[in-house]
This record gives sequence, C-alpha cells and structure tokens, in this order.
Amino acid sequence: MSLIAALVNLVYRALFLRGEEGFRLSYTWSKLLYLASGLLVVTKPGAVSALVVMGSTLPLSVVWPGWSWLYSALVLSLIPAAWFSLTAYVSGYVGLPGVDAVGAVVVLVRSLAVSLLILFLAAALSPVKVANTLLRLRAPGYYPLLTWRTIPYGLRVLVDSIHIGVLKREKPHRRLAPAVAIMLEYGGFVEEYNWLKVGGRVKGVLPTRSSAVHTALLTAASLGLVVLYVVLP
Amino acid sequence: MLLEAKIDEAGYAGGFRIRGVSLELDEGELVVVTGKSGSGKTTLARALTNTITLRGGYLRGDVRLLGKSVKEYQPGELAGVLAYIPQEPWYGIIGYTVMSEFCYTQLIVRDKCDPRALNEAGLGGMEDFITYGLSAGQTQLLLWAEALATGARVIVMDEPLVYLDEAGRSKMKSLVQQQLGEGKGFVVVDHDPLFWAELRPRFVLLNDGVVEYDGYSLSWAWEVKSPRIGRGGGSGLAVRLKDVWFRYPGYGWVLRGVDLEVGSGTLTAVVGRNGSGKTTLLKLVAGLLRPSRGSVAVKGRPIYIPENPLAYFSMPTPWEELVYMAGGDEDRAREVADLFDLRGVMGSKLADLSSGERRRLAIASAYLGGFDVYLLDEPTGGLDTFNANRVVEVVERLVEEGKTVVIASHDDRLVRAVERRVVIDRGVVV
Repeated sequence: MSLIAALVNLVYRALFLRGEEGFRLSYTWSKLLYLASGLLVVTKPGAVSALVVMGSTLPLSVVWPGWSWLYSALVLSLIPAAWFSLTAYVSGYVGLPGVDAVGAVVVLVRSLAVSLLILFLAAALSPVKVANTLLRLRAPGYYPLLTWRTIPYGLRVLVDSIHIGVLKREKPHRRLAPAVAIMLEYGGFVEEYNWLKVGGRVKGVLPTRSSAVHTALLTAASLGLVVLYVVLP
Repeated sequence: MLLEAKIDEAGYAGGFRIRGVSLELDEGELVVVTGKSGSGKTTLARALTNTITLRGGYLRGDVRLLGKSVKEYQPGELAGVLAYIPQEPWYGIIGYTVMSEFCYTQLIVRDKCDPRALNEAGLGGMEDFITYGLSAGQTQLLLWAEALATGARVIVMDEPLVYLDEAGRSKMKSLVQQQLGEGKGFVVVDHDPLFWAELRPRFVLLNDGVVEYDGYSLSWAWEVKSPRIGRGGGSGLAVRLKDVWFRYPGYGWVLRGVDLEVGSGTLTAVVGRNGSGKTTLLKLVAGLLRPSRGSVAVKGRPIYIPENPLAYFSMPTPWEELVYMAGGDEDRAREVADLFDLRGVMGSKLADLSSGERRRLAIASAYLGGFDVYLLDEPTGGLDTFNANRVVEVVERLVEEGKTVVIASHDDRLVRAVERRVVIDRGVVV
C-alpha cells in the first residue's frame, strides 16, 4: 500500500468510520464542556497535564468510536506532534529559541494530547445536529450531510484508484487525475439528481436521538479533568 | 391524467437529441421505455423530470404533471408529485446516514418524517448506517423508500434493476404492482423490458432519438450469447483463497471462512445478494484489501476493474490510455483498439464515453498491460443486450488467450451464460 493510500485510510477511519451513534448522540453542551476542560488542563505547563488529558480521551475513544479509530487517530496525531517537537528541538541549533531533548518530548506529548482531543471531538461532531442548526437558521441544511457523505466517498475513490495504480505499476501521483475526474463527474450528477432536495425548502428538522450514557460519560470525564486541574501543581 | 409529454425536441446543443416524443401516463399505468444504449432513454427521463437543463440541455415542448407544466413547479412542490430514481443510485443521495437521507427528502414535502417506508423497502434497522457503506442495490432501495414516503404520484426510474439481486428485483416488482394499484404512475427506463411484462405495461421503444414503437406487445431480443470457454481453459490454479475472513474496520464480518479455487484460463461468475461481499472478494484477490484472516494466493498479475471504470484509467483519452499501456507502441495500441472495437472513440474524452465503451476500453487497456487475472466488477451493469454482448465478446477473447477472468455480477443475462458460478450468501460461499 502506498504512503498516500495509507494516509487517506487513516483520515477515513479517524473521521468518517461511523454513522450517527456513540458520542455523536451525546448532547452538544457535554462535548463543549469536555473540549473546554481538556484545553483548561493543558494550559498547565509540563507533560503531566497533557498525559492527564490523553488518559481521559483514550478510554473514551475506546468506548466509541473504538480501537480502529484509536489506532488511526494516534498515528495521525503523531504527525503534527512529531513535527512540532522536531522543529522546536532543531530551532535551537539554528540560532532560534529552541528546546532540549526533554523539552522536545514535552512538546510531543502536549501536541499529541491536544491533537487527539480535537480529533476525538471532530469524530463526535454530529452532522445531523449541525444540519438541524442550519435548518433552524433557515440555511441549507444539506451542507454538513453532503460533506460527510462526499468526503469519504472521495477518499474511497482515491484509495481504490491508488491501489489500481499499484497493480498497474504506476506512481501514486498519476492516480490523482482519475480520482479528480470521478469526483467532478460525481459533483455534476449529484447536482442533477438532487435538485429537488437542494432546491426545496425543508419544512422541519431531522429526527435525532440522544444518548444519556454518552452524555454522562463526557460530563464525568470533564468533571474529572476540572478536579485534576485544581489538584495538579 | 398524471403526465402528458409532448416533446418536439430535447437534447444537448450540438449533441444528442430526441425528437417528436409524445407520452401519456394515466393513474395506475406503467410505461416501460426501452431501446439500445444511446437511443435516448435517459434523455427522455431527464426531459420528463426537467433535469435536462441542469446538464446543459434544452427542452422544446411541454411536460405536464397533474395538468401543470413541469417548469412551473417549485422544487418542494414537485418533490411531492414526482420522484426520479437515477441509474447510478449513489449520485441521488445527499444524506450521510440512511435516516438523514430518507428524512431530508421527506421534509421537503411535509413537516415530519415517517420512517415506515424504510421497513417496506427492507432497510429497517439500518437507520444510523452510513450511506457510503451501502451497496448499490441498498442505495437503490433507499431512493425507492424515499419515493414511497414523499407520496410522489409519478415515479420515473432509470434502469432500476441493474444493481438489485433477484430478491430485490422481485420486491421491486411487487412494490411497483402495489403502487400501481394505489393509482400511481410509473415510467421505467429499462434495457430488459420483458421483466415488467406481467404487470401489463405499455412499451415505448426508442431508436436514435425517435419513438419506433408504442404499444402493449414487444418482442425484444435480450439473450446474451454464451461465452465459448467457461472452464478448463488452462492448467493449474490461478487463484486460491483459503479460509479467508474479512471485515472493514469497525464493522462485522463481510466474508467468513471463504475457500475458493479458480483455475487458470477460466471464467467464473461470483453472484450473491446485495451486500453479500462480491466486490470485497474481488478486491481481496486483487490485493486491494488484505484478509483479516486466511490467505489469498494469485498466480500471475491481477487487475481489478471497478464498477465505475473511470477509477481504472491513467490517461484522459482512450488513445492515450492504450498507447500508454502499450508502452508507447502505437501500432499495438491501434491493433487492440480494432480488436476491442474502440476505433470510433479513440479521440473522445473518457468522461464522454458511454458505460459500455468505458468498460471495453478498461478491459482493452488491461489486456495491453499483460495481466493474467482479470477481476471485473459488474461489467455489463446497465448495458443493453447489444453492448452487453460486446463486453461478453471481449471477455471471451481474454479467456481464449488463457487469461483468468472472475466477474462479480447481478446481471442474469451474463451469469446464466457463465458455466461456473460461485454463490456468496452472508459472507459464506454456498
């Protein structure tokens, strides 16, 4: 599998693996509360606060979206975290304010924690609830739904195209053109076949379900983080 | 009268057009529009649904739904009168889960969503499932459920059977029958008109943009000729799957303990219900996916040609694609273009090719690439008899030359013609 296909697969699994379930069914305020408490804890300097946030996010992500999300999200989060850590470390060698090896590890852990937190909440974002918010504002509610449908479709097309390129013994970059061609064709047909949905005015909001269990888990985790924020030196 | 169409001319500036088409549809009536690929069936469907202008086309004449011109309807109002189910159902979806898609459409015509039609279409229990995880057949059933739920009086369906398994087709036919009984009207574009014969439809045969026949009896040749070589064309095994299990991350098993052997130089059809794992099986053989458990061994180089062959191509025109795959040998590219009957389209853009042309070109390109195992996903889907035959001829040629071909298909015309069939049911080879 090429590097591009592997990366595309990671993005797919980290953001588009699941439907309307799990933490997507938790109340919006509980997600915002968790985001706020996570960010609050990482404002404390050092690696411990970041480890606390990771120690909270990782078990939650095992509950939902699950292990395959966790693996993909960890690998994806490592990319910016490693970059920040490395550049902070190297900066010292080129005359800019930098960090030593221990400092680089701290940067790595802190970046990883924030990155995982954001990815987790991005995965928990409910396109249906966003659509309903837009519909209540009399804005086109299909945007988030179509986005969450089209991006994974495009990612899949790209992965298939790259894999076929491997069979044809081609370089991955040659496969971008067919993937783009398919997406252009897709866009034209979606516009045509959905013109009644896109052009019509929606008269209500989409039915949603809520999960008290997932809301409670996020709330408990948030409270735990706040307590640790107070307790931590 | 549900629908009255008097189309003087409809089509695309400087391109294809249909002429002098009159069509009337009464309550409880089924009209089946048929004809060869390129005869104007889809152009007519687009004209009837007023989508032709969205594709840069034009309509001269009038299409009236319940006595009102289709051009005068507001989209929301039209959605309660007319439903259009396209040939490629995945383009007709904007929702990311089954429920959000289904309800969004329904909320265009009423203020509350009633999910009952999902059960009628066999999608009950899949409400929170992601729509890009649905098979093409399930997607078609979802659009069908939407059409039922909006209460549309006129339903236009373009090749509705292409991606449905036998059970899905029977269900579709009985649902249409039931809806006809409730006074709805159907215009069905289908290359297999005889499927609908027992519902006593009116047949409209199009040829080169004009109506050649309009009446209640129609004899339509649709038998696909049998490939000459069905098995035993070579020696040894080309493909061997041993206790293969597979599941996509986060989901249940798609394939469970599949054992399969495919001989060299043979033609095998993999058949099964929608979502049974046919495409997954082909992708595993091609190496596009790795088994969760078990082993896949392939002798020689495999190539996978997907349902939409656009994902296969590397170059923007047939000529460039063939020359590229021939390693720059233009004479060889010309020879293969002749062999696969592609001479007439060599300068066209890939996007402008018909489905049949795309599939023949993809197989021709793979043929030039010297692959040994050809994995073809729905190679005749949506093609009329004439074009399906041409694809079959190409497949025959591959097998005659000792290549191994494995086809995943719902197309009865093709599957019946293949000697060796592998049936997958709920992830298990039966």
